[in-house]
Amino acid sequence: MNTLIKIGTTLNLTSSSGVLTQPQAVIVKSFIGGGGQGEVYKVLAYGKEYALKWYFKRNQKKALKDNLKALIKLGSPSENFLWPKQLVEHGGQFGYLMELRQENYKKSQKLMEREFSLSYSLVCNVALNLADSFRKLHVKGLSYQDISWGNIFIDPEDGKILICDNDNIAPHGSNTIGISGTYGFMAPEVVLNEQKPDQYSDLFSLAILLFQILFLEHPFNGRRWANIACWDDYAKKKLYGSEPIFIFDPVNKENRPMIGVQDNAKIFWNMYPRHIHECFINVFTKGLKNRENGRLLEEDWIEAFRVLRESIMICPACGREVIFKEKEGLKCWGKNCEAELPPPPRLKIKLGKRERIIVLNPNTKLYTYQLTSHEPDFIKGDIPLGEMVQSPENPNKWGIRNLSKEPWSCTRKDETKETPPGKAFVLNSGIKINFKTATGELII
Amino acid sequence: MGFDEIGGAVSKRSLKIYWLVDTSHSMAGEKIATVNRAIKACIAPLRDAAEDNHEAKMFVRTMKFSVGAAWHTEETEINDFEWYDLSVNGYTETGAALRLMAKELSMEKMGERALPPVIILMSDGEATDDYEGGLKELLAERWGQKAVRIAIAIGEDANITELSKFCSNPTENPPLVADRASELIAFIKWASVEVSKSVSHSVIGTSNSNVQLPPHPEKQVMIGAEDDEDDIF
Ligand SMILES: Nc1ncnc2c1ncn2[C@@H]1O[C@H](COP(=O)(O)OP(=O)(O)O)[C@@H](O)[C@H]1O
Ligand SMILES: [Zn+2]
Repeated sequence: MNTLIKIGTTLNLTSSSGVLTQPQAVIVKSFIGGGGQGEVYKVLAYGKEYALKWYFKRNQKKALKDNLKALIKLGSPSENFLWPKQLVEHGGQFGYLMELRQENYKKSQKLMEREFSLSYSLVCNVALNLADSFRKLHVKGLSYQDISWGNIFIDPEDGKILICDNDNIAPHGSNTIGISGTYGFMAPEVVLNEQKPDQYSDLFSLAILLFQILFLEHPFNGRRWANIACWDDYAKKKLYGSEPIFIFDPVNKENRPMIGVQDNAKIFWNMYPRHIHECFINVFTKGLKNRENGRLLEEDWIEAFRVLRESIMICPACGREVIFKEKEGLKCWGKNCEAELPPPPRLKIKLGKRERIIVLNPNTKLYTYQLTSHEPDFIKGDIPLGEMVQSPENPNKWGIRNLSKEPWSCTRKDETKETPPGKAFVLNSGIKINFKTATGELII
Repeated sequence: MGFDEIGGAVSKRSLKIYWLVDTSHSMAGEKIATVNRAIKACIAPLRDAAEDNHEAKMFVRTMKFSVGAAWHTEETEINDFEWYDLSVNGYTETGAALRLMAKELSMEKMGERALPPVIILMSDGEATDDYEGGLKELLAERWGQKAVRIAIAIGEDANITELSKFCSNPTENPPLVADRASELIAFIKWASVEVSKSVSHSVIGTSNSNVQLPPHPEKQVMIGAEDDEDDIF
């Protein structure tokens, strides 16, 4: 096969710059794949394997090289990016080194093919990881510009993600490389060529990605999509650019999913609570036009999925995850289960003005963001400060262990006891907990 | 436990790729051998492209034309597709080929929902029958108009004016002229693999046609390899 570099070639670098120590040579081991801009190889450098991206001649441009240099210098916003690490040059051409993607990460669009499925808690992990990664990218003043299936990989076991193809990332407002993105993910103003991609269009694309991960259908592919015979660029410009209508627009109901064609949308929409619906309705109605105010920030998504995660309960009959909804009859959605569920024990936590209801499952943890500060950083906010524990003597007796460094004080029937770090308090009805920065109350 | 027990896969649109190959006598020898090799070489990357795309179901079909035109393979999903070498036999009845193609693009055969089909016409000469009539029939079909029509001229004897008329956007994408085997392979791969990728998950561009085509393959010297030029047709 014709590739840009012959397999087995040793590239003697004429120049190299980046975060790795100066490599002498890069040995090209095998071809991984080709894309729109170049090809990716598995290579050996300093005795370790890396991925090398090498560009087609037409993309061997100074602007791209300068951009890569700037990105390498800036460094990766989080470990979820396969960020460029080293610029390598050979024979007047260039490419860059990055880490290899490991096998446990699957192509995200395989979700849509149903090759793998997530549970509520994995959906939350994926969404939280995505939102956190793009938040960190945006906080650095950068914009991704091409969020789409091909660039996102998911580990179906734990909901970790990888973001690839980071060479087109540019400062917000700059578009030196000239990427506009993929139809179906682009914000309407980008489809219509009124705006170049930037952070606001990224936020729109992120919402489209999240929508599809949750509901396994495209937010604009309803009846109108189903009625289009020829799905070409003209049709895409109309559905995604000039006349986008959200399939669950509460006012304009013209583009609802078509039965028999887009069944996932309704099935999965009904699996999620109101507050999640509202996030998407907001972006896909108000946010169509109002770039600055209509598109949820990553912080908002992080909060929405934290709330969702706090409301997951486990069906005692079958073990499936079910979303707890206040004041609603609860039923397991499992086809061979459908058990009626009693309300689960919950902890009401008040931190400042914010009140949260946390469903208590055997594996529930209390996190930093719930007890000490409204930390928007997903990783920092997720440091556990407490965890559910079962009494070794009595399996029916549950408590919460204090994983923080401060003692908590628990009050029940006018009696107050200390729970020092490492110890647990028992979840007896009527107990109130003073976590110092926050207060808690058990609801049974 | 995940959601694997509820819902289904997203509905797909068909993406049909047609190879229309001139099998006149002049194609004998290296030319037809190269076409055979090139189409075979497209199968694996097309399967990869199909696998990466949850919105399209890819089908391929081959037509040969010389004395009249006939389907050489059935319409087959790319994963089940097997190639049978083409052989040569007579005139260049391109008109007949376009007529046969037109029948394939009727509204009922294309179904309720599809992506624009990709039609790749390859010839090394000029039509010996009613080319204009055939083209008119093809363009009378709605799917014929919507199709991404690409022409590949094999060698310098091909009639470029004739092939240009077939192209969906001759100013932006005129016939590709292959003078060597290596070029012909690159063009067939581009027209099949890269174009079908663009049809299914297209990236926005400046084109005013209904599908933005990817940049043409460029001549590139492989790093680490000797530059061995192959024979001119
Ligand atoms: N770091 C990596 N490790 C493993 N595979 C990679 C890596 N980066 C890219 N690839 C693969 O290489 C191929 C082409 O890369 P891609 O970045 O999509 O190219 P382009 O940006 O030109 O479209 C894809 O199949 C992609 O999955
Ligand atoms: Zn159940």
